[in-house]
Amino acid sequence: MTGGAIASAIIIAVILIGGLCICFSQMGKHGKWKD
Amino acid sequence: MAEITRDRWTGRAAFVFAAIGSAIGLGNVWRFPYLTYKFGGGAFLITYIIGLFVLGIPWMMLEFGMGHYFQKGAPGVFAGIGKKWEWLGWWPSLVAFLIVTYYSVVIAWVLQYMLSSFTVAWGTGQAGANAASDFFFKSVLQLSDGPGALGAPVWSTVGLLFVVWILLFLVMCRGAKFIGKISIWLVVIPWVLIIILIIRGITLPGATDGLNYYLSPSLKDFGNPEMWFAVFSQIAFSLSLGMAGMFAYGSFVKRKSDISNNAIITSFSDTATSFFAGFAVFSLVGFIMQAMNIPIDKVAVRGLGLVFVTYPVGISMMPAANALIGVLFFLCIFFLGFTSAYFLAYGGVITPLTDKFGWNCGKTTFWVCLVSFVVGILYTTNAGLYWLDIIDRSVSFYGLLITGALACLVVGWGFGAKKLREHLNPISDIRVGAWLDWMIKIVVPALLLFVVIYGGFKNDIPKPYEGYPLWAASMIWVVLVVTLIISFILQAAKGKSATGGEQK
Repeated sequence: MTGGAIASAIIIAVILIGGLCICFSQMGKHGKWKD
Repeated sequence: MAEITRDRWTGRAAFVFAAIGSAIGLGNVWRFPYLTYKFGGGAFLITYIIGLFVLGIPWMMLEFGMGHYFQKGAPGVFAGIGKKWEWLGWWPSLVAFLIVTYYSVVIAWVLQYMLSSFTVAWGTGQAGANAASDFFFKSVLQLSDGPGALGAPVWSTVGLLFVVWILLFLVMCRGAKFIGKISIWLVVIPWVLIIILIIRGITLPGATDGLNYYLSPSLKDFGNPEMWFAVFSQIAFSLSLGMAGMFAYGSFVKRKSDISNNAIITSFSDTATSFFAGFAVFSLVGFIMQAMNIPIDKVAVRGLGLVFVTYPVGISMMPAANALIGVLFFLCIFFLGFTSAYFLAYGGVITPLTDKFGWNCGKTTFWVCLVSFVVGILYTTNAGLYWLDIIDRSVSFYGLLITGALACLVVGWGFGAKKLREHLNPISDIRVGAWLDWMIKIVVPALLLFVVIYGGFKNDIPKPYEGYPLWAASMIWVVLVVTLIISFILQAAKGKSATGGEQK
C-alpha cells in the first residue's frame, strides 16, 4: 500500500474509534446509562 | 398514561443497537466505499466526518429528540407542534412504507444468493466469473427489456420475499422490547462477519492495489463541489433519517435518558461500519483486477452490481473456501438489510398507525407485513429492477430529502430549535450549544435542498431519469404527489387516541 493510503487509514480509524471512545467515556455524565 | 403504556426499550444498549442497526444497511457496503474511492480517499473521509457534525448528527438529534419529547412517532410529533403539520409526519411514513416494499425484495435476492453460494451456483474459476452477470440478470431477475415489459413474478423470489416478511413479522409483532434485544445480535454478527471478510480480502493477491484505490488521498478534491455533494447525499441516505422511524425509536426511550450522546454514537458507528466494510470490498476489487487482469473501471464497485455481480465474481475466482466466503458475505448483507427493514416497517409505519388510530400492535403488524408483501411482488416481476430504481429515486431520494428539509424548518422555526435543545441538554451526557439551533433552522434544510436541486432537479427535469421512457420516469413525480395527498387524508382521518402535546 502507498504511504498516503496507510496514513489515511490510520487517521480515519483513530478519529472514528477515538470519537466513539470519547462518547462512551461520557456515558452516565447526565443521562442515565441503564434507562 | 403514555408513560405507562408506551412501548419501551429494555435499556440503553437496546436503543443504541437498534438505532445503529437501522442506520447501517446496504448503502454502507455498496455506496460509501465507492464514493470514498471516487472522491479522493482520505479527503472524502475527513470531509464526511465534518459533514456528520454539520448535517447528520443535528438531524439525528432532532428526530430522536422530537420523538422523545412528544413520545410519539412522526405524525404524532408534528400534530403536537400543530395539527396542521401532521401530514409532515405521514409523508415520511409513506416514504418508509414504499422503501421497505422494495428493500425487502433486495433482501430476498440476498437470501437467494446466500442459498446459491452453498454450491456457488454461478460457477467457480474463470467460467464462473464470466457467468456471474448472466446469473443475476437472467436467472435471478429474469430481467425484461424495459419498465413496460412487466412480465410475470419470478416465483422463487416471491417465495423468498414471503420468508423475509414472515421473519420481519416475527421480530416486529413483539414490539420495541424484542426489537432492541435482537438488534444487539443482529448488529454484532455482521460486524464479526465484516472482520472475517476483511481478513479474507486483505490476504488475497492484489488486495493492496484495491486498497490503494480506496484510500489514497487526493487533496485537490476538497475544492470539488461534486465531492461535497457526495458527502452530504451519502450522510442523508446512510443514517436512515427522513424516514419517520427515528422519531419512533426516540419515542421508545424512557423520559430521563440520554439522546444527544446516543445520536453521536449511532452516527459514528454507522460511519465506522462503512469505513471498515470498504476494506472488505476494495481488497476483493483489487484481487479481481489482478486475477482477471482488468482495470478498476471495468469492475462494478457500487450498487446492486457490486453485491450481485462483482462479489460473486470474486467468490468464483478465490483459490479456496469459495462457498464459505459467499455464504458469509451474503449472510452479512442479509443482516445489514434486515435491521433496516424492520426499522422502516416498525418505526416508520406501524408505530405511526398505532399511535394515531390506537390499533392493536400485533394486528397492525400483520396487515402492514401482508400489504407490503403484496406491493413488493411488483419488484419480483421481470421489470422489477426498473421499477425498484424509479420508485427508489422518488421516495428514497426526493421524498426523504424534501420531507427532511421541511421537518427541520417546522421544528426549527415552528416548534423552536432552542426548545428542543433545552429538552435534550438536561437529560443527555453531552450538552449541545446554540450551534445546534442554527444547524436545524438553516444549515441542515439548506444542505438537503442543495442535494435535491444539484443531484435531482438539475438532472431529472431536463431529461427523463436514467433514460427511462417519459411515462415511466414521470412516476417519480406521480408517487410524490400521491403520497403527499394520502398524507393529508391521514391527517384528516379521525384518530382513536389523542395526538400531540408533551406527555410527562
